[in-house]
Parts: sequence; C-alpha cells; structure tokens
Amino acid sequence: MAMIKTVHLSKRYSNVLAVDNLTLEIEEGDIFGFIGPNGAGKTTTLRILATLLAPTSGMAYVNDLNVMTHSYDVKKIVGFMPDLFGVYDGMRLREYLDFFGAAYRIPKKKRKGIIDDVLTLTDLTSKADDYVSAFSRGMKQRCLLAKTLIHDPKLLLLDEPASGLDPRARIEIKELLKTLRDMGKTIMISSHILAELGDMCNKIGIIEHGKLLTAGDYREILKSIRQVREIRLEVVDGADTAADILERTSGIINIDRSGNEFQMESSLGRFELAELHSKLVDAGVKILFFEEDRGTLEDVFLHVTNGRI
Amino acid sequence: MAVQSASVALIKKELLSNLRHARSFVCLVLFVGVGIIVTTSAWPEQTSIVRAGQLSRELTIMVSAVMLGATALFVPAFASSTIVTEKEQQTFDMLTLTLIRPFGMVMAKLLNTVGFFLLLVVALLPVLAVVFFLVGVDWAELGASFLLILMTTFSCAMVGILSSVLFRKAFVAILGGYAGMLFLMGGPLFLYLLLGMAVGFRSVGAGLESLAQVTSPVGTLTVVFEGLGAGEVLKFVLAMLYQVAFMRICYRLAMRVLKRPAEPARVETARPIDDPRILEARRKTFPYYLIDPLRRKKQIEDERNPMFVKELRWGLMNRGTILIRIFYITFIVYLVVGIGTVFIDPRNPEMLPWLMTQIILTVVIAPALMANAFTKEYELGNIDMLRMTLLRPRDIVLGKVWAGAVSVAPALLAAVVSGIPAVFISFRTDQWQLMFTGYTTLFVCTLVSLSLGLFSSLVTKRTTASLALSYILSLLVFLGFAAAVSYAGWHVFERRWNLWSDAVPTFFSPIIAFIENAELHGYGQKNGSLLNPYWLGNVSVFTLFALILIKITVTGFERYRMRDR
Repeated sequence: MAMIKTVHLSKRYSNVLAVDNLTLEIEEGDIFGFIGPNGAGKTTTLRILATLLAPTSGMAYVNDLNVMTHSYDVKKIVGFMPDLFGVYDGMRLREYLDFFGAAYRIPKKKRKGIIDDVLTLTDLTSKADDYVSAFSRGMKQRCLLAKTLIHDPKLLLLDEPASGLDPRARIEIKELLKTLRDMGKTIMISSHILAELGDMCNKIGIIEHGKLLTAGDYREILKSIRQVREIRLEVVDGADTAADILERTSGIINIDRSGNEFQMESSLGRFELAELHSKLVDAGVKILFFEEDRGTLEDVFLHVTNGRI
Repeated sequence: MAVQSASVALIKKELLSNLRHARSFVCLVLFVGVGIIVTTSAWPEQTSIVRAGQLSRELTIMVSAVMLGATALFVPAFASSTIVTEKEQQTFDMLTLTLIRPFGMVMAKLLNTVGFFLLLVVALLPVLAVVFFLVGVDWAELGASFLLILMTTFSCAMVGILSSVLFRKAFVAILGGYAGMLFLMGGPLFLYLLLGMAVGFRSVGAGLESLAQVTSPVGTLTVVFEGLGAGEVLKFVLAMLYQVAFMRICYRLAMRVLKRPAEPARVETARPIDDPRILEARRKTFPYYLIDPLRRKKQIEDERNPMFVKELRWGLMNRGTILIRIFYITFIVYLVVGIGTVFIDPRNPEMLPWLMTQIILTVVIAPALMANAFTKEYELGNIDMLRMTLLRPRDIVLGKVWAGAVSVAPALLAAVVSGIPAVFISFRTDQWQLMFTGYTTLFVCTLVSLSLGLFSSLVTKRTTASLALSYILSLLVFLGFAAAVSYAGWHVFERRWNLWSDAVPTFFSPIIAFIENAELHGYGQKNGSLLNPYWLGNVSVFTLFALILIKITVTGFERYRMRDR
C-alpha cells in the first residue's frame, strides 16, 4: 500500500514555482531519500505532506488520506521533524515531551512509559531533567526526534535531520534512523548531504527546480546510469602478468594502470568476471583487491541534475 | 573618515531596508489621507472670518495633537526594536565587528527611526499649509508646535533605543520603550501626584499645571497654543531643556551599555525554582501558594488543555516572582492612590480617580500580555511543531487566552484587595454602586484588552508589530471610536438636526461610558441608580465585542495559521 502518494502536486509562491507537477509514490516500510540542491522544493513537499502548507494544485495523500481534507487524521500518523525549529524556554526535556505527549492526546497513564521509551531510543535518558534550551544543536536534534516519535507515527518526514551537526552527532543520528527503519517505520528523509543517505535508503527521488527528475529503487537507478561496470584491481605481486591478461580479455576496456593498481571498465557479466578473477589467480597474480565500484549517490545526483541555479 | 562613512553606510542600509517595504508607503498614504479627510470635513462652508480663524486654530491644534499622539504611539515601538532585533537575529556581533563606533550605531538607529516620522510630518505639511489659509494661527505657534513634535520624536526614539540596548528580547525592549515614553509623557507628574497623595498634601493641585506644562509634551502643547506671552515662552524653553536633558541621560546610558564588553548569552542550567526546598517553602507562603510552584513537576492531566497548562506552568511560573512583584507594586499603587483620595477630602473621597488609575494601568498592561501569544511561537520556531499536534485551534487560542487572564490576575487581585480596606476606612456605602460599576468596567476592559492583544498576535508575525498594533487597537477601542463618533456627531447631527447627545459617543468606549455614567448620576449619590440600562448595555456590548473578537481569532487561526498558504 502506498504510504505517500502525490498526484500532479504543485506549489507556487508568487512568481516562483517551488514544486512543479510532482507525482510520487512511496510504499509502506520504504526509506525514501529525497535529494536535491538548496531551494529545489524538498521542504515545500514535506510541509505539504505534513499538512502545514496548502498546495496550489494537485493532490497529496498519506495512508490514503487526503492531507487537505483529513489533516487531523494525517497528523495522527505523521511525525514531522522540520529543518528549522526552536525549543520552549524554561522546560526540561521530560516536561517538554510530556507537553507534546498531552498535545497528541496520549493518556497520562501511558505517557510516562512512552516518554521513557523514546528517551531510551534517542539515548537521552540521562538528559531527561535538563533544560532543552541549554542543549547543543545535536542534542536539540535528538530531542526533536524524540518529540517526533512520541505518538508512535507510522510515517516520519525528516527535513535535513543532520544539517549543522558535527560528524559524531551525524553518525549517531544515522544510527538512530537505521533503528527506526528496522522498527518498520516509513521514512521520507530530505537531505543534500548525499553520503548520509546512500547506505540508508532503499528508494530515492531527485528533485531540482521543483521538478522530480527521477525516483525509484536506489540500486535500479544506479544501474541505469552505469552502462558499464567499473572494476578496481590491486595486486601485491605479478602486476605485469595481470596487465597482460587484462589486455587480452575482451570486454575489458579503458585500463588505467598506476603501479600495482588497475582501474578499468567492463561489459562482462558476473560469471565472466569470476572467471577472470580465477584466471588471474591461476597465473600466479597475488590479488589484494578485486572489486566492483558500484557508484555512489553523488554519481547519481551529478548524472541526473544539471546544476543550474 | 572610514569610521564616518561606515556609520553613513549603516544609516543608508537602515533607511533603505525600512523605506523599500510597501508598508512604509501604505503608512504614508494613510497618514496623509487621514489628514486630508479631517481637514476637508472640517472646512467651513459659509462662515465669518472670525469663525474661520477659530476653525483654523482648532484644526492646527488637532493636527498637532494627532502628530504628538502618533509619535508617542509609534516611535517607541520602532526605536526599541532596532538594536534588539539585531541581537535576536544574531547580526549584532557582526555589526560590532565593523568600524562603526557605538556613537555611529546609536545615531544611525536614531536617524532611521526619526527620519521616517519626519517624512510623515513633512508629507502632512501641505495639508497644514492649507489650514493656514484660514488665518488664526501664528507662525511662532506653528513653529513652536513643530519644534515640540520634533523634540518629542527624538526623545521617544532615544528612550526606545536605550531600551533596545538594555534588553535581549524584543518584547521586553518594546515594553521598556513604552514605559519610557509613558514616563516622558507624565512620569514626573504622576510621581508628584503620588507623593502628594501619600504625604497628604491638601493643596496637591498647586504647581501641578506648571509641572505638567514643563515636563509633559502634552502639557507643553497647551502652552504653545495659549498665546506665546513671556511666561509661556519661558515654560516652553524650560520644556525644551527638559527634553534635551532627558535625551542626554538616555544617550549617555545607551552609550555606556554599548561600550561595555559584550557578555556571552547566559545559558541557565539551574534556577532558584529548581531547588525543591525553596519551592516547598514558597508553597506555604502567601501569595506564592496561589501559583503552587510544585505543580510544574506533575504530568499534564488528561482533561486539561495542554496549551493552557504549558503557558501557565512554564510561561507564567518561570516569571512567578515577576508576577508577585506586579501584585505588590500594583497593590501599593492602588492603596496609595486610594488612601490619598481619602486624605484629600475624608468626607467626600473621590473614588473615580482611584478606579480610573486601576482601569488605565490594567488597560496598559493587558494587551502586552497577549500580543506575543502566537508571534512568540513563530519567532521561537515552535509553530510547526505546535500545528502538527492534535491540538485543535480552539484549544491553542483558548489556552493562550486563559493563561493571559491568569497573568493579569495579580493586577486585578490587587485592585480588588486594595479596595476592601479603602471601603472600611472612609468610603460610604452609597459608593458601593460606583465601586461595583468600576470593577465591572475594569474586568470588561481587561477582557477587551486581552482579546485585542490576541487578535493582533494573529494578524502579525512579529512581536514588535503585534505589540504596536495591539496598542493602536486599544487606543481606538477605548478612545478612538468615541472620539470619531463625537466628531461625526458634532458635524452631522448638531449642526443639521440638533439631535445629538453626549451619551451617544461616550457609549463607544467602556472607560468613557463608565465616567459619563458616574458623572450623570452624581457618582451614585443622586439622579438614580448607576446600574442603569446605559451602563449595563455598554458593558454587555463590550463583553460581546471581546468574545466575538476571540471567536474571530479562533476562526482566523484555523483558516490562516494552521496551514500556510
């Protein structure tokens, strides 16, 4: 079942078309990386899905509920973590979460246990009695994520959750998102820091100037932009023999040798590559690495977008 | 030279960023438009030269008074938001790192604030010049009134800038700016009256007029149009010197603060309110137990409105000590004024000024308590998170209203508590009616003020704008409508059909209606009951007005603020 569905969704701010005819579907349990440069329309799309912004035209559905007409029901199942946010002054973390718990109509009896759970999940138990306004940026992000999880939403809309964080805090947030993925949440995460999304998302969508350029399975998209395989070979001994074998193998082209390291392109299939590996070993080449460079999200991004401002 | 040009660059940037907004143009058009409407509607059709001269004089006085009023109302809000906004937007540090000296910074902000208002005044000059055709106003009077307005604009701007330099939050700075403006308009006079009443001056009125004419710009304006004789010129010069001294003090204080090395923003990790022993002790002491500090430790109850509880426990209780201070200060002020009135004439104490003090103080405080209700959520970046919860717009708005009502409660409580001993000391039982109507008016005015503050917070997105708007609306509701109806009635009914009554315009303000009702019925001692249909109708209409405004705010919040367009 589609957790998120948008049909010809558009949003115009006076003379700027922030989202242009966006049609998209995200299945339940997907981790969808929404990628695009600054000002591409990511935040606008997320805010429409979160019921915070009215679209100019088109439709948006969350769990088959129209976000415009069923906003109250949509809010029950959506947790939105905005890019820019503040915290209430003079509130401790537990009080802060208690307020939002009450605002999500969680009964008082259940609330304490739920707060303890989200504090454990976000690793904030030790900070429960600290003032949220005194938190560092990374702690505030965690605190906001805890708030977002308080009503156990099925869908998480996360807008740049790791922006402005130091490397450690970024890794911690990433680990946390992986835990949420394992818990079966559907997550739509927007970011322009591609490295943080690559190993988390099973699906991606790339948006630029409000237009969705591509969307779908991450691996499929990677495959589609790479017509040939890029192979990396590093040997400890027998580099000349290896060079000789590689040059004689049909389907191996553009060999770039640098000492004991080789970079090449291949149109060979999986079995043929395995045979090539065996041939090298049989010829007495001592192999350190023989691997395919699968490409990264950066490659996809650069391939799909044109970089115009 | 470089430093000078850096200051000029700041002035240029300030003026550009202010004047390029459409609101500046709209403001200018409205200001001139109102001036034209007032002038043309009052223009004599067929009248003698003597009447024309009188009309010209009346118009000039009115325009001057309006300009002085506009200065007092707008300049503090603009000026007090200048530097503090830089602090809030975290651009102040960047500004201090440039070659601009504190002097240049203050001057740039001052000229920017004053410049726009001078533009308004200059834009109105042609309108005023037309009035001059009617004869009746002297060049010297006109010049003096303009000088007075100019000086008052500078004084209000300077006290606003001082407040902007002193505080870290725009909301507090604006309140400080208005407090400074109130002091400029009548601070020495109020202190003199308070002192006089406290020590039991029998002749508290002696010297009052001269003090008002020198220390209050409103008083000085009356001097200007009394005919500039030697005595009046002396008073005018003294008034100008007083304003120069006032500005100088504000400037020196602002410079002292600006030159001080910046302190890092305080991050509070522990407060006195965190100490359980202090909280426990407070719980048992009057009047702390009224707000029970320990309640904030408890979870929010299921049946309660979370917004109200949050505003009450974390909004007000963190300011608990301030509330207690407000209670004591207002209690003392009310008590001093009440006892003072008894001392002036123990046989016939004047309750009206005492009740009026309470009403005016509450009307001044209440809009500010609500004016940041929603703008605060925008400015702190919490609005999205709030909108994403399952709280309905009604819960959010009413939560804010109830919390506002609780925050104004200390002042109201002080009013009621201070009234009890005064009644037993001297007030006669026949004045209970006056007291009842006074307190009811006080409560109605509080409700109206809170609803106006709330409404202002809905239609704006910045606290500075909301606060200024709430005071403008308050002025309109408590004085403006009555004045406009009076003005229209004077022109339409009295001159044409002679069907006009003073009770009609006064009905359009709860405060003026209360005074009118009290005066008409001899302060409850003669001419029938004070609890008559006129007064009951007035309080009912304004209670309804406040409730409708709250309903409009709920609907407006639901339609326009729950989802951006």
